[in-house]
Amino acid sequence: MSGTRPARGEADEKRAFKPRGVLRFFAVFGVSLAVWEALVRLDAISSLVLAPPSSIVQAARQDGAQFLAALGTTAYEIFLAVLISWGVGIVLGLLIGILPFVRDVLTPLLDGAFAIPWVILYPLLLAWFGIGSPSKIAFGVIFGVLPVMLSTISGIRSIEARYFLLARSFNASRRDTLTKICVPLALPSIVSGLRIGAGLAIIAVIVGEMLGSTEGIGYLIGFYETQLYTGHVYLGLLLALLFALAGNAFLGYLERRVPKAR
Amino acid sequence: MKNAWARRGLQMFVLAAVCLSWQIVSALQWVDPLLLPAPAAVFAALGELLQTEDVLYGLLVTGSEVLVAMVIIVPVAIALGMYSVERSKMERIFAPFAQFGTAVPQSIFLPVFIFIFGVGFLEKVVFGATHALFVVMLNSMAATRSVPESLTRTARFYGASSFQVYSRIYFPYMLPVLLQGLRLGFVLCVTGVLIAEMYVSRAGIGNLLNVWGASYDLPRLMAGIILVGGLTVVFNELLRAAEHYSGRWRES
Repeated sequence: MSGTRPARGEADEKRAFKPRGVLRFFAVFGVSLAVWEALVRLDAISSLVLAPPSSIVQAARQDGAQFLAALGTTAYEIFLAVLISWGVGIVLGLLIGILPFVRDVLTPLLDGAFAIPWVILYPLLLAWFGIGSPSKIAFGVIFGVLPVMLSTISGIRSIEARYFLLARSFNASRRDTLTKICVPLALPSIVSGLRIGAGLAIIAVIVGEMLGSTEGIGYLIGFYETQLYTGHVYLGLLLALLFALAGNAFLGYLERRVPKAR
Repeated sequence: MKNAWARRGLQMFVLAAVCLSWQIVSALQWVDPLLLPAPAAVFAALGELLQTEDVLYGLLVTGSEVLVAMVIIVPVAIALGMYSVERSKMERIFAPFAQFGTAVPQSIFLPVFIFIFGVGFLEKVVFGATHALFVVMLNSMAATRSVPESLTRTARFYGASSFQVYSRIYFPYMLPVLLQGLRLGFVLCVTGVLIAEMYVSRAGIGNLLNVWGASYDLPRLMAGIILVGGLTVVFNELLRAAEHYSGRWRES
């Protein structure tokens, strides 16, 4: 949306990285940790609802190795899910995108499909692929593939007609049109789709593990929750959150590195 | 117009082709029929589900969880979004907060909601509401920004009351963007409620899907998936139509 009142832009983001900002961040962080610990110690909040930092640290000391191993399983599932959804999404998106007729017919269907709460497929995936990693990977792909496809299609659709005219007047082959016109011009849109798709795939894999599995970080969170080991649950949540945010930050960095369309 | 009808027809054709290939695959028994029941069996199960009291009750529970969550969170999110843009100092605080909120995978925090609210109606409502909050808030910010300041200033200069400014300028400008936010929020809210139901619950359609899956009752499970998916698509398209209709005045 281009509005009359512009949103706060990069200037604010840059300011946040000044050393004083970092210092202030750590100060706020430290104080909130202390308040958090105090609230639980003073029984203002039950330790069954919010585990104090000390018991999270204790959980990490006690079962840290188990959590790291689980994180490895989750990372493996996420890696495959992201890879597959990127590959399938880009190929399908390009195929649909370069054929205007197919694109006009299928895009509304795909847009409608975006509204389906795909989590309802999870019991079916469990029945099909079993309780191991494949069902999580499939679940991640289902979430990850649509945004990649849709943004690839919309990236190609937004290319101005004169570029295709140019390609035709140079008698460019179909392949050249695809590799020299479609892909480079649609690249920014494709990359932002890759970021959104990967972000969704990461969440889907972890949620899938929580809903039904025998390994992975999501499984540990659910397992320790039924045991009421709040420290372990919060440790798992923090690790999962850090994992997802780190993935998001990395992909955002990649997105910014891709040159803007000319 | 004729083109649009042809497109609709082709879309129906694509859906029919999917069903047909599904029928062929299951008729030739390429896949174990236990894992992929024939479309006929699934649609028969769908008809049966619609007459089962448990299923209708499950839909009612899930539907009311979503409805209550949306009724609570949408006014709050819209108000927060408007307020933060109108008081531009606040936007500096709220905008990164909302951006961060959309980046955080809220779904994985379900155990925290269970620790706080226990398992039940309230937990599902709150969990669904947090899923919708940030996207509706960001759209409300964008909607408020899309109101041209020149118009509101002119109106106030000619002595329009606050009510007139909000009802005649803000409302028509914001409505299409707000409806878009409502639509996205609705989809996320449904997803949140269903995740919560599938994780731990005793009621709701998410729980039923889990039960059918765990007992390998695939005809019912697939019928349930089609039912829930179909319902959300219908609601989504209704909201999309409202969004389109409310923005039509801009085109003329």
